[in-house]
Amino acid sequence: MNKAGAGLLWASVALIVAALAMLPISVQAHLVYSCAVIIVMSVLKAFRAQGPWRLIFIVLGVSIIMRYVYWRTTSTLPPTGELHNFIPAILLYSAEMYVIFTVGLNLFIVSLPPRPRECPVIARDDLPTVDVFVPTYNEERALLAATLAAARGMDYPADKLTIWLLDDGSTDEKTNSDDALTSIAARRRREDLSRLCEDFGVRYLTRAENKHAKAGNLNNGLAHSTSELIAVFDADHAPARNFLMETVGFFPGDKKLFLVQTPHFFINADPIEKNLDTFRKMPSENEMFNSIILRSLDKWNAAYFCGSAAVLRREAINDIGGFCHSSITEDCETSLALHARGWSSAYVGKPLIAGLQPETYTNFIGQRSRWAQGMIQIMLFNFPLFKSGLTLAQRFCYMSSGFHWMFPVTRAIFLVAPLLFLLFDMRVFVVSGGEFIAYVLSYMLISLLMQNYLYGSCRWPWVSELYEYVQMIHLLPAVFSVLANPHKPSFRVTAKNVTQSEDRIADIGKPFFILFAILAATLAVSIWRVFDSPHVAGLVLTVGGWNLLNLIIAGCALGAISDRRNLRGFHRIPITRRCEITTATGEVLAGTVEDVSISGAGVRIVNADGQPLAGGQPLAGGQPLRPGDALSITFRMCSGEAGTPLPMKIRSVKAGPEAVYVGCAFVATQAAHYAMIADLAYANADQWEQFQKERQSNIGLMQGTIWFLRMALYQTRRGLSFLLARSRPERNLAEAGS
Amino acid sequence: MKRLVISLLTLGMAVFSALTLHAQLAPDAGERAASPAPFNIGGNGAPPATRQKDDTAPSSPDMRVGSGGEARSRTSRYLLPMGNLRLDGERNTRAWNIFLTGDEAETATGLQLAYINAVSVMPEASRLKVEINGRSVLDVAIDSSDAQRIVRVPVPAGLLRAGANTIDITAEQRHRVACTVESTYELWTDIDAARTYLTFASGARPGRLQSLDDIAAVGFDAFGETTLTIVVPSPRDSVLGEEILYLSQALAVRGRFAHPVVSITGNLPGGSRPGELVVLLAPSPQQYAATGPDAPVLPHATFRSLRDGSTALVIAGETPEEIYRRIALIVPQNIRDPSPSSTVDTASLYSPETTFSKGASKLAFGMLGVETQEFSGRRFTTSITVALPMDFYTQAYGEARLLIDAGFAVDMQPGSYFIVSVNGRTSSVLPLDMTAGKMVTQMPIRIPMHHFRPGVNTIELSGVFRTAQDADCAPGTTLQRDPRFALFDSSSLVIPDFGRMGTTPNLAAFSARGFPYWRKESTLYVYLADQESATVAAAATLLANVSFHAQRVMPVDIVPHINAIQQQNALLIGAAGKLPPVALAQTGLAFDMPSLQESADTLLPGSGTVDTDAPLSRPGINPANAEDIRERWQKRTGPEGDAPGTFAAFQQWLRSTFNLTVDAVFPRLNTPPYSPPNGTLIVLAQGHSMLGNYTWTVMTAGSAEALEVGIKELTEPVMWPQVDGKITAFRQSTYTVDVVMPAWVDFIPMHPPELFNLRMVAANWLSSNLSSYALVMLLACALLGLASYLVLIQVGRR
Repeated sequence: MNKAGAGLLWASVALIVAALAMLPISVQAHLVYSCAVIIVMSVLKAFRAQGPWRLIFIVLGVSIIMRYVYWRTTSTLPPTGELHNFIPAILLYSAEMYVIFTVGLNLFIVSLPPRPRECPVIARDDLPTVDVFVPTYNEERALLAATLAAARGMDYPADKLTIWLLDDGSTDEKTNSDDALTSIAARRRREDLSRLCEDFGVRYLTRAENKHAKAGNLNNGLAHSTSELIAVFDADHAPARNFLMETVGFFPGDKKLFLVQTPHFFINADPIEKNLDTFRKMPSENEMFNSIILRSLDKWNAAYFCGSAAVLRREAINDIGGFCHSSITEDCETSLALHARGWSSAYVGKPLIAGLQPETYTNFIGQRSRWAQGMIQIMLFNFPLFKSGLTLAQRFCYMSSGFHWMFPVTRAIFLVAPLLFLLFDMRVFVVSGGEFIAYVLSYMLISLLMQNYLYGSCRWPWVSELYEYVQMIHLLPAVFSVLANPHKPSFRVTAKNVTQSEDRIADIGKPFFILFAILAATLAVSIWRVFDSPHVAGLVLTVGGWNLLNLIIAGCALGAISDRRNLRGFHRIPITRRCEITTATGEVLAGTVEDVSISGAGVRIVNADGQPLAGGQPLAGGQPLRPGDALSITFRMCSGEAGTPLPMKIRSVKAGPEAVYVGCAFVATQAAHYAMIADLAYANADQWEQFQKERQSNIGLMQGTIWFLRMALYQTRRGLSFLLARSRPERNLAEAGS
Repeated sequence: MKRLVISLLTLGMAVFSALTLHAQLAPDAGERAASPAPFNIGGNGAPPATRQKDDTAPSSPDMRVGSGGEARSRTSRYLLPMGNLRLDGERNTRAWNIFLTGDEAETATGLQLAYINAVSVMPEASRLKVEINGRSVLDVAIDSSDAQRIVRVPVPAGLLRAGANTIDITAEQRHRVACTVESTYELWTDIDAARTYLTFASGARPGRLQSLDDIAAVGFDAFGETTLTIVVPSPRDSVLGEEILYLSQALAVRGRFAHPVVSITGNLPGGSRPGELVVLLAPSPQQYAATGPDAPVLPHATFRSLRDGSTALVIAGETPEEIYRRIALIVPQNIRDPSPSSTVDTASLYSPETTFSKGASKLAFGMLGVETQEFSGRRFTTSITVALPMDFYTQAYGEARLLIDAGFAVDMQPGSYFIVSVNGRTSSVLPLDMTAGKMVTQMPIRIPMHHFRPGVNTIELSGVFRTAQDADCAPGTTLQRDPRFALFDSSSLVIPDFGRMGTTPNLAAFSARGFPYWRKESTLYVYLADQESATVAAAATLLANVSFHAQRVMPVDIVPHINAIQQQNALLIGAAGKLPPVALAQTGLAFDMPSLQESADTLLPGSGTVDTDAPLSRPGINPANAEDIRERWQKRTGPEGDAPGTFAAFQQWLRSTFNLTVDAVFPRLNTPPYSPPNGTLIVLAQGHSMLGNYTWTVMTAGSAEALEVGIKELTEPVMWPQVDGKITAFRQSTYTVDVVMPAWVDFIPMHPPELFNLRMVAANWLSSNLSSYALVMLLACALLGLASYLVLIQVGRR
């Protein structure tokens, strides 16, 4: 069937379904239909049915949502005469409809994600020239060294690759600052980094003033460079060896292509994951965006630049006069402008960089505030629906990305709505017990089913709710501030890799405890009301159940914001790399590097002949290995070259029956050492993918819900004991966390 | 963890039990509070309308022509169109119209009323009041719990007028000792229809008719029946069958008789009873010349006097056509209008008259006869009526609303609620949580339209008010007259825009509006199983009643053979044994219905003639109540009786929360032929014609006599609105009807197709065929999913 025919068929069937869904049928008929849909959808989900089944699944879910919308609109609003009920009721109703609208956009985007892209192979001689930009503002030297080493280690013809460190931390503006401290630090930084760049054979570039933040920095890079393509890596995003080979190949064949974006893969946990201790087993929060949304946006030619881990075409960026900077999310704004000019984008699903994400709640919120404010700025300045040059699908895609960030408002309304009835007896949702089951419960169940079917491998049940709640409190003022004053927000670099030296509740956590107390008190009030006024017991229980759900999430959030101890400076990645260890006394032992970070590695050592160490006591020149001893390792690099010895210092020794495990810190003194570390840590992207795949398992709705409830209960306790421990400072804080 | 699971489970159970609590409240409260519809004088407790002969009655129902007695002089005029009337609760008001001739209006002198009340009624605080045309004529303390009391009062001269006169009876009753809501159900006053009437001056001659307009003044007897005694030359072979059937309709409509009963005789009676109209139907005027020695033939006038001075109507003509023409003159002018009738005539039963709602409408209480009023008791009731068209088709999903304007003077304690019942069935319960001094405006009460039907609907609003004062119940509490609650006449009933689609089988539309027969200027085809006068009389009674409700008179064609109506809408009437088997088969009735025969055999042992007033003894206990008890027990034990287990519990929960049964979701389309239960006297059944898409309606009983008695019973105003579904069997033994709802209905559009209407019709059809909506939607969604897939694989990147 051709496109027009299929479209016509679709439109006419859609009209029929809409007409059927908007019939004012009885609650019984709706209940029967809901049950049928739940059964069919559960079966489809159980079989992981894809292809046409995926669309049938989505349409079934949408039909229930449409029925809910129809019913909610026609039957549940209080009479306009009761203004004290009607106004909050309309607010709640609008919030629900807004959410359903964004869900609709989202469903459109993820309706049928395209196949993963395969990068065309280009002869090495035909490869275009590439400038690699590593913009930095305040990142420390070691982090930059690792990133630059990883960039240097990328497989690409050397004559076609130029790496630039774009330093915004030691601009003339800073080095000439009237503040002595700033001035001295900036001068030292410039000196330091210039030398580092020299060692690595990397171009160092800074500029006069910090105008237009990151966008300005990148534009400055553009002005000083000439290559056809530009790869951008944030300072804490280390590329894999094959990054360019997996991305550059798309450009020669598609002259209108302006962007190849790759996912942001993080080797550390975000603060929530860290506090909930879910990093190793549960897919990270960002994976839903990186693995599913971006890939699905690519279907509609709407994958946008995410600030890093991407390759861009200089010609395209020049076409719009450089990176845009009217919003604080210059990346998405630039993409929107380019898409509107008819340029196209591509997304490669493989993780090709290893990044760090904020480790404290404060920084996490700072990052999210920037995204939220920036995306709302884009919506305000360049509302995608009316932006000329975009396809309809692209308009939907950008709207979805932008509208998403209003979630703090809707989430806050859903939090407060049950309190209005339970505490103040306001009727904002007119419903009977039977209708509640038939419409509301079925709608909720089907939403969960759809969420689990579409995103289950990347997002476990209730995790979205938790993350939104955790962000809501502090994003709410950010959202209102940008709405009130769209030009005010300015770019602030997200601090990453900030170590928590002791367990503490972020100061930012106080509102969470207050909210939790209010919700808990409301629960008590609702229990009292059930017995005190039995005539409204059904309603109180229904609304009280809603409040209980909020309370469970709020309780879980208490744990999620109570920071755990995090002593290791950099996160270790599990790897397996054969190596040779040379002790200080010159003895050569065989071993395997088992985990690595940019600051150190864990090595399992066996005897040189491969035999297990006798009695578990390793001998190095007759002497046992001891913390503080120096040693060096050599291993074959991914490029095939034999590496130089990498000096290390032993931090810890743990003896096992067949081997000894030593934890070491790198003692890197020259660029070659950093190249070795980067090769160990970042060169092999396959291992990241494997790690990601291991976590990406769909836990299922039932099991996921039970898991979440258990975790919520545990985290509530943990969060509350943190509070108690903090109020009695003499107590051992570590104890409270256990 | 374990603790968490348990507490979650407990919470879940609590939620569900609370949700069911809401629903459980309804039926319970309904059983208590659903006080009778205006027709339902039975109500709870003892049957007030027992048909026992009462020697003290002014006219004995079995009075024959020629026998002496007080009533022959017709010095009285009965007042209660519903028969015996029970007024229960703390305040109960009934109002209706009676019709008088000019003579009667002038010569009526007094009002007699006989009542007996419950022992619980406190005389000091209870009043019985009668108003005529808005003027109080009687206002007495209710003080006769040990024996019936007869009250006689004069009727002021000039108060009554020719034509319609409004009678308004109100009982305000309070309990002697108790202050509970429950105690208000012990309050009642029964008014004896046989001893409640207007009296006339001596020498007056009530019952004399002088014009066709006076026919309405024939009135009714002590049971609320109007007997049309049609005298024909040869009743055994009713050659005048069609004329009788046509005449019965014309008289019912012209006389505004709420319950006409036709009887056919060959002998001219010497007189007539109150509520009886004798009609002489003669092929030629000469034929009756010899019936009486002093019977002058009135060539032009259509009335003649009977021996007792009352008037008989004469319809005479040389040819059937001429007779037909003369009958047609009886039909009121407005009814002859060929445009579809959208009125109901309820003046004989209600005042003010019922509003007819053809679509979305908002009807203020003031307009519906409910005035602004204050109330000092604990259970307030009021009722309104509204009529819906014959093709009303929104029962399965529609929702009407009451918007209440009211004030509350005392704190309402938990357990206070408004309860709304429609046609006697609880439809909605709204818990009240009010503080003293609170006024509500336009407070909505949603009423599912499930129990609405074509024709007249009665909506009863009750308020159950629990107060601290009543909980204390200090002495004299019930004497208090301080109003606790005020209902304002600005309250309103909102009828939504509803679907319009005629359906068959649908005996409710048939009984209420004559659908699909009484609808355009065509002919009503009737097939009679035999020519017995009882069969014809039964047919005539049926037609007269339907015609009255439909407000339309149809010319009749009695077909000689069933082949003539193979492709026609038709009524098929006759004893079960004499009807062609195909008639029974088409309407889903079994060929062999032993219960009908049994009832017919026990009906009139050895009686050769049919007395239309044959005493029908009803059981001593209230049969409706017995049925209620049975249903209540069935509800309590679930469909499988004692079947235990979670599935039964689940079904029970489904039913109580959603009014949903497994059978409703998975209906059986092939239902076996229906055989009525024991004690069934008469059956109405509707089905397809033999060929084509036409409707046959069968009325059958064990014998022609049973048919005649049965239809008389079934058309009583209290029973007739219960006729419904595809089969309605009237059980004389329990005085109830057994209704079989159709699994499938055919549509008969009454209006040109219109998109908005079609949508509502579709909504109703899909709501009444529960699984069909799921099937249609699943199918449509699957199709849309595939279509989406076809589009999506062609657009964007693949």
